[in-house]
Amino acid sequence: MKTFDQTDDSVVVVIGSGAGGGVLANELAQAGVNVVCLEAGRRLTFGDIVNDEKIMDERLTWHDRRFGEGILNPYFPAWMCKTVGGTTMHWTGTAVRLQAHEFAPKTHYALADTNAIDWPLTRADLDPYYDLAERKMGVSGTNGLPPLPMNNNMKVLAAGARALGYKRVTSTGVAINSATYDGRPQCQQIGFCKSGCVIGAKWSTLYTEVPKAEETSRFELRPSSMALKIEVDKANNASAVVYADAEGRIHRQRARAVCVAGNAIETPRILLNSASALHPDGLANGAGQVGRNYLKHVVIGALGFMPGDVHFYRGAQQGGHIADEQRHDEARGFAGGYQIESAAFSPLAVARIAFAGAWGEDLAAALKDYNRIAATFITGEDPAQSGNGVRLHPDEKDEYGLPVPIVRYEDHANAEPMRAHAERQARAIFEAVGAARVVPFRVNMATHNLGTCRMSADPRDGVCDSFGRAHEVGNLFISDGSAFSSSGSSNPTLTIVALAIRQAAHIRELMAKGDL
Amino acid sequence: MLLVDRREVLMTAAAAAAIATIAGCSRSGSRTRDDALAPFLMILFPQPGVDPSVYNDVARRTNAALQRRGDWATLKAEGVAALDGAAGGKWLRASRQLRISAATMIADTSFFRTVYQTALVEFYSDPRVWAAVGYPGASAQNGGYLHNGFDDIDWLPEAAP
Ligand SMILES: Cc1cc2nc3c(=O)[nH]c(=O)nc-3n(C[C@H](O)[C@H](O)[C@H](O)COP(=O)(O)OP(=O)(O)OC[C@H]3O[C@@H](n4cnc5c(N)ncnc54)[C@H](O)[C@@H]3O)c2cc1C
Repeated sequence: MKTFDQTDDSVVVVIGSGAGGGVLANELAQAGVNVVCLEAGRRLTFGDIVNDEKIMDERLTWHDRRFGEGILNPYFPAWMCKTVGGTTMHWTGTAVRLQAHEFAPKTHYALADTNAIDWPLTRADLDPYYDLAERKMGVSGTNGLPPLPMNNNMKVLAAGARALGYKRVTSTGVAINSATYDGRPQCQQIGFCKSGCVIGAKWSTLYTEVPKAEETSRFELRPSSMALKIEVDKANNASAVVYADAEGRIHRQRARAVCVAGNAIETPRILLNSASALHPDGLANGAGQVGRNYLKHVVIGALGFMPGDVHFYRGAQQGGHIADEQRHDEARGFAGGYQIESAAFSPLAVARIAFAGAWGEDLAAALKDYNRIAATFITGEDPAQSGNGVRLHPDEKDEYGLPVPIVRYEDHANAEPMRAHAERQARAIFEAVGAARVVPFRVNMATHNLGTCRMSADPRDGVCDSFGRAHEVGNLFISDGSAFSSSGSSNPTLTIVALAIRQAAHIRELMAKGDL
Repeated sequence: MLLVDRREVLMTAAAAAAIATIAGCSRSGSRTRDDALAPFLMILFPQPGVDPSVYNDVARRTNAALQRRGDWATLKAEGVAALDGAAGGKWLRASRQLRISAATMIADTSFFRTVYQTALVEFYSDPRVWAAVGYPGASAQNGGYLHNGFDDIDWLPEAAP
């Protein structure tokens, strides 16, 4: 396996090996660029992935201390992974393109009190990269792959949706193999997607991008390596990354360029923790935008208690979606749209998330009907707000002595009417196929972390340009969900991957031009 | 306002289980008969079809997990006293209805929330509780549900194409 010297300044250092970092690193290595990937978490093998939520929570989830404010859980505001593969280990595979109008919320939505901007690129600009991303990930319904077969839970949702007159009901758009693809097996409908796929049918960078990059001999993964600080030289180039290994020893890797893909909570945290004489308020934060405009989607869930058995734990936990409400149609009383997905929960998750705080007969009665539950998870457009974001705690520090993050999120006025509409529709869907009872619920921890180092045409509005290149430091790149200018209504990962592929091509071009 | 101790929230299922195991190894003898925790869990999670021995086990694991808090003994004593107070006598000997009312009355206390958060995870992660609600747990060892009922639903109305 290739290793690089810490003084080798020919390497591009990528921080994080998840959706953004894993893809970028592989794309760069394939294109002939030397890459060192620093990943805070451990590297698991298939032997470490088991059908056990408790064990996998311990092996995968990021449990470093954080604080939540606003409507977020005060001690666990956001959900992500700390392991090689990042949150592509937890993710449930829904992989859908953002819509053209979602790239231009400022143009299309008449909303007050937002800090919304249009993306500095269009859907048409990204389409060729979406094609590449879908091919890479094996998205169902693309590249000759059939739709994922619908499991019982998705069939209930689909039947209810069709009864309401919805037309865009589909199990395409899932990055879970609907047939053998790219050396990975077909989905066996095992369930437990959130605990890591035991057979690798779900796309995850741990067993796709990372080993492929290693085959090039131009890539070195350093697991259990927590990036602490990015250094900038006198010429304002990101010149090295300081990191701690598993034993807490401090190292310093020289760099030709630095790409940050730590997930939208940790990416701004790293930049804010990298303040220097040239960047007194944090790296690339001259415009004060690092850590702002945090987006997480407006979210609700709903359980339908159906007249017959569903066994919703069987198979893909999120095996399809409904797109009809994703249109922008202000007649509904809100801007932007929302996506309706199938979702499945273990008994513990039903108790802890859907019935948060419930006990006694109410809770027991709900669980007694566990096998009759069908469920949905709904994500909607989340207007950017300057006050939502990530900042450093004034005195709480982590084990390396670095300030821990505080994540703040308050709803925009657009959220409540959207949620109310989505709740009504979810209720109608399940009732259309006979639900005796529908229980909508709210979720106070985010799974889609976006927007905290956003792309902007005007350097005053964001942190990076349309390729993720920082406005203020020419060899610093934002390579994960932090770069989103808006949330759209669909899950973010396909877009993160498309942007990473596009960024890698751009970095190659800059290098060829002698500009990097 | 009651302050939530961050340990209550951050005590993950896995961590709690690990601690329970460690605590379980060094434990000698079992809980005393009049321990209120198992009966309290029966009020919190009255799941039909779950054997009383499960509540005893979950109580033991919850106790062990919460031992790590320096103040658990005090918190528990206060909690039991609060239950007795709310029941107007020995909570343990009160009628089921009175026990429920008393539990409702103390639902805002740190004791209630601490026990609830820890025991909820222990209880609904117990395979015997899964069996009672009809959840089989792991499926990979049986090859998943692709050839075993993932799409066997038969009561849905025929969907119009
Ligand atoms: C339960 C769940 C289900 C989801 N389902 C879907 C879905 O169906 N569809 C979808 O599109 N999205 C889904 N998501 C969201 C999706 O997983 C994320 O949006 C995506 O993985 C984010 O990619 P990223 O590159 O921004 O960060 P991540 O994938 O989180 O990768 C960040 C990596 O950086 C590492 N890191 C962080 N800080 C440092 C540091 N200082 N030094 C070194 N390494 C560091 C982390 O350990 C991590 O490995 C889901 C998320 C969750 C939690």
